Amino acid sequence: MNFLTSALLADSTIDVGGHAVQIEVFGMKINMDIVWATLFAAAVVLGFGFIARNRVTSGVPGKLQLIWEMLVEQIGGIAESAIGPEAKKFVPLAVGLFTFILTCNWMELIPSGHNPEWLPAPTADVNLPLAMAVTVIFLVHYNSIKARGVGGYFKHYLTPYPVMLPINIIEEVTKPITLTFRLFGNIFASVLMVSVLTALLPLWAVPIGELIWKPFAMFIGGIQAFIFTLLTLIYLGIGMSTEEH
Amino acid sequence: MGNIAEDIFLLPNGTFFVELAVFLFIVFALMKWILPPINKALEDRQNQIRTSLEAADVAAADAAAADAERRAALEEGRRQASELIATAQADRASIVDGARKEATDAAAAVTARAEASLSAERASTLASLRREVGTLAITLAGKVVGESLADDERARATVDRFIADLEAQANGASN
Repeated sequence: MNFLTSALLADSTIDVGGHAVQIEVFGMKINMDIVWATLFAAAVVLGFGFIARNRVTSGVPGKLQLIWEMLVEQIGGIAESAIGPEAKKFVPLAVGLFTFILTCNWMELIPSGHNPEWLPAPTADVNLPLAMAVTVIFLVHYNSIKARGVGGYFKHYLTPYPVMLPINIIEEVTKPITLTFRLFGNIFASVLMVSVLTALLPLWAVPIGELIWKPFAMFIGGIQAFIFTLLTLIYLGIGMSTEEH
Repeated sequence: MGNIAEDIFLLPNGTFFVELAVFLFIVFALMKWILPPINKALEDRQNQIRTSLEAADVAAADAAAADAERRAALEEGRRQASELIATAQADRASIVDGARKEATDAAAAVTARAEASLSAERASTLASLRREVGTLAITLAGKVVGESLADDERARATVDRFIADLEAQANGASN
């Protein structure tokens, strides 16, 4: 009995934000568990993508093709309502964001039985959400300048009144930060919740707690993937709109 | 200080560049290799559906036209049939009337002929009777009075009146 209790206590030490393997390249630390988990997620997305592509038919589509077509149509529809006629070229970005984030988020459901996890959700690490947010915000500003011209782009910071300039600048600066931390925070908290459940609940109640929590975590994963994609399209739409507010 | 910053898990590290590269590759692969064929299949299917919808519209219009034509033909057929029936009915009536008239005429002719024949026979019978009865009566009366009355004009007139009375009685009885 004493042995069991001490084992449980040892397990209940929660390592927050720890990584199974870390290496150093050019003086920068690289979280290898996140890297291979990301590569795994990329392989899943691209694997399903290439399988669908190789079996693509304009006749009766297979299930996988149907899922891709549904994604393209739904996200294309949202993109068109947010951006307008130029939305088509952003559909691959939005589809990529949604499928990749969703796959990464749902990877938290795969347990390895180790702490830290051997195959963690890459979105529970700040680097992947930041990389995606930086890409998106770069595209937003690039396309904004392209649509409005340099003068129009800078003039937009003075709208509706010049006194709004500081607020407009803060808004633009916070966009990538909120985009990053909304996704990272939610998935990180979701992963942490599993650890907390394991640590706090009595051993017999842990499966019950996880049974309740994991479907909810799946739901959060889906919602966060959708929100990231939707905000990307909305930011692009706002950035490229040429009409005065 | 540098070590502390590296240990804060909320801050990005070198992993950022790997993640960026992987993400950009995914978007590139989707844009270049995966989505174009899927989009093409989608558009092709939409075109096929549009074409078949148009074909269905044409077929529906054809069917409607054929139906209208059929209805018109049916209506024409009905009209012709009712005309034929009316003509036939008129023909039948005229044929029946003709036949009836012919039969009536034939019957009348037969009756007239029979009447004429009867009347001629009656007249000849009457004449013969008058002649024979007169002769017989005169002969009988001559035998009774003992002399010949054959040339007596009065006796002949009496016989004739007697016969006329007989006829009148016979007519009164038959009426």
